[in-house]
Amino acid sequence: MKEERVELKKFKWDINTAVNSVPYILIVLLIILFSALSPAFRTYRNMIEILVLASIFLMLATGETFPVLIGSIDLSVGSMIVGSGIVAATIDPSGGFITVVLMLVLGLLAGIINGSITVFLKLPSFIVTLATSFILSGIGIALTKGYCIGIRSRQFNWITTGNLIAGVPNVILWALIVYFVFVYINERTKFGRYLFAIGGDEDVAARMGINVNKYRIIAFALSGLLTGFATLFLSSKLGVVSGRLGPTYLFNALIAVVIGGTPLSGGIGGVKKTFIGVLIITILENGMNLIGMDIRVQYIIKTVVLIFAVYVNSIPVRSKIDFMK
Amino acid sequence: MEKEKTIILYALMQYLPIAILIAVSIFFGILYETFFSIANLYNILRQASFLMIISMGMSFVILMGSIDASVGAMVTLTGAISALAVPFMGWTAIFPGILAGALLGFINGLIIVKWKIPSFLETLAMMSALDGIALIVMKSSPINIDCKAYFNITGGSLIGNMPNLSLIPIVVVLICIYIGRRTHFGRSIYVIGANERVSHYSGINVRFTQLMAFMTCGLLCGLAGSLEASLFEAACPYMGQDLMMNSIAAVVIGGTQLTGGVGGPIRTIFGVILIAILGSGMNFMGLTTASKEIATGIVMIAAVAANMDRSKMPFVK
Repeated sequence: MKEERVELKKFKWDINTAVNSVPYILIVLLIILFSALSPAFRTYRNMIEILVLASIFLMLATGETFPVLIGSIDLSVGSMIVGSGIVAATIDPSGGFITVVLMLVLGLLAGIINGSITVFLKLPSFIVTLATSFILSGIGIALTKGYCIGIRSRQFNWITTGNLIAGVPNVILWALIVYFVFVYINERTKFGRYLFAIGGDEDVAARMGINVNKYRIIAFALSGLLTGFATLFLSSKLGVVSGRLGPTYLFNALIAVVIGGTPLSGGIGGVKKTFIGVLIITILENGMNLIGMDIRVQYIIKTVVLIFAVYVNSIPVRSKIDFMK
Repeated sequence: MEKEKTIILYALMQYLPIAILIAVSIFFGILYETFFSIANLYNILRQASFLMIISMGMSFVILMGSIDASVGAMVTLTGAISALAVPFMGWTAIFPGILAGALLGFINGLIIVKWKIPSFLETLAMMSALDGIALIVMKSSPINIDCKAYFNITGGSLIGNMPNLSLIPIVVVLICIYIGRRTHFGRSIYVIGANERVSHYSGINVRFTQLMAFMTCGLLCGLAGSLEASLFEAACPYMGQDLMMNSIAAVVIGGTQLTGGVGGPIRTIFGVILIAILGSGMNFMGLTTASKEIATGIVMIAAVAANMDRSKMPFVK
């Protein structure tokens, strides 16, 4: 009997690996670019600031990854920061334990509502979350007329800016802990694997017996919960709960998810990949700010980046789409 | 018996938008006596005019199964372009605005069709970009217009006593109904919305039609933008912001389904009137802008939920 020789797996440079390596190449390029263009970028202090911002965006983007993985989308994350943050701060402006819990719980609640409306009324998620984003920002404005609610509390501020480890702001620690918890959930639990299945082919997943509706609601709930974390960290850092936010946060989250490697059609990528996407968008925004780029131009650039990222990341799954609506 | 019930139900559903329209009108009419005064009706008509033009464009896009979230930003930007052109071109400054709108719509369509980017995402991103460009062009503050002839586009009266502002949407609506019903392009839109693959196999040039539909929507937004600049005598940042949600709501309430293939410009007329009446009524009730945003969001969910053709979507993303 002929013995089969086991060949070493050769590294294949195909379209998949090319697309997967784009984020890493991009980060290196961006760091080089901005280091060259702006002396302020190169400082240690700026690096820490980038990490702090990235921590906040990491929460947001991780949350966004769950609906996107499933093939849906959550457009309400930005407004959720305003809506749930303002409501939490209105109920308990002291910044104590209750405020913290409220922010998380309200985010979770908003996410559950998003998911429920999508599932039970059988509406496309982008319409539901678009409407919810208006409702949430409306609630935020109604309660404060657009002003911010200040939270003056040392402990609250400590959550983000304190130093459990010298030189490292706390928020980075919390964000990493939460992040790895959700990476674990996404990669190693039944629930997480099912999300990949549903995103890959929802019809097949449903026929396999996966309760698509239940997992969809949970995905949106997680999105809301993680947005709650982002709300918490953001308002802790700033000392105020913002009454009005631009579309920046939503955009950044979407860009991070898509650049990271989770295409909008879902099914591949996942929370693990979102990390690099978050770094990219944070460095991009920080760099653009430091070189003094007009914010309106920044919007335009981010739009181009978003469209480009969606395009590049949909290349592996091109065959699934005949015509895009 | 079952079949009869379904048929009756279906026939009733056709008239639901009109019924709601009448109900809401009566509601507000009873609540506020001045609601049906000539002055207020004029107001409603004025609000409805811009919404009507844009919703016609949006009807075509939604009929195809796509969506255009950038309409508000397109209105703002084209309004700014027209405002900038007035000192050089007088009243003909309306044309650069319309052309700019068509160009923007064309770009939208191109990206969606060529790069297969989902329409809602692309138009959402485009909305941000266009708002940014508009801000740059306007230098972040309103552009004032000072040209009598330009104001007359909306203010003047070509026919008898009717202000032009009310005349133009009527013309637009008639043209759009004609396009929708009697041109190859219009019929293709219906078929694409119903089933893209089948329409492709039937020989319809799906990509071209999609491109043209987005361009039409952009063109109509350009028209609306120029008209808004004419009416307000200025171009302001974020001028068209409310129009996006309202036009989607209007089209959907009117009876055109988001999945496409059913509905059209005629149905949208009722949706627009309903939204305009609702808007005016909310003003009467003294609701703040925030509450109106909330209400519009709820109305949109309710409208989409009520109108969805569930059988066509085995699973919802």
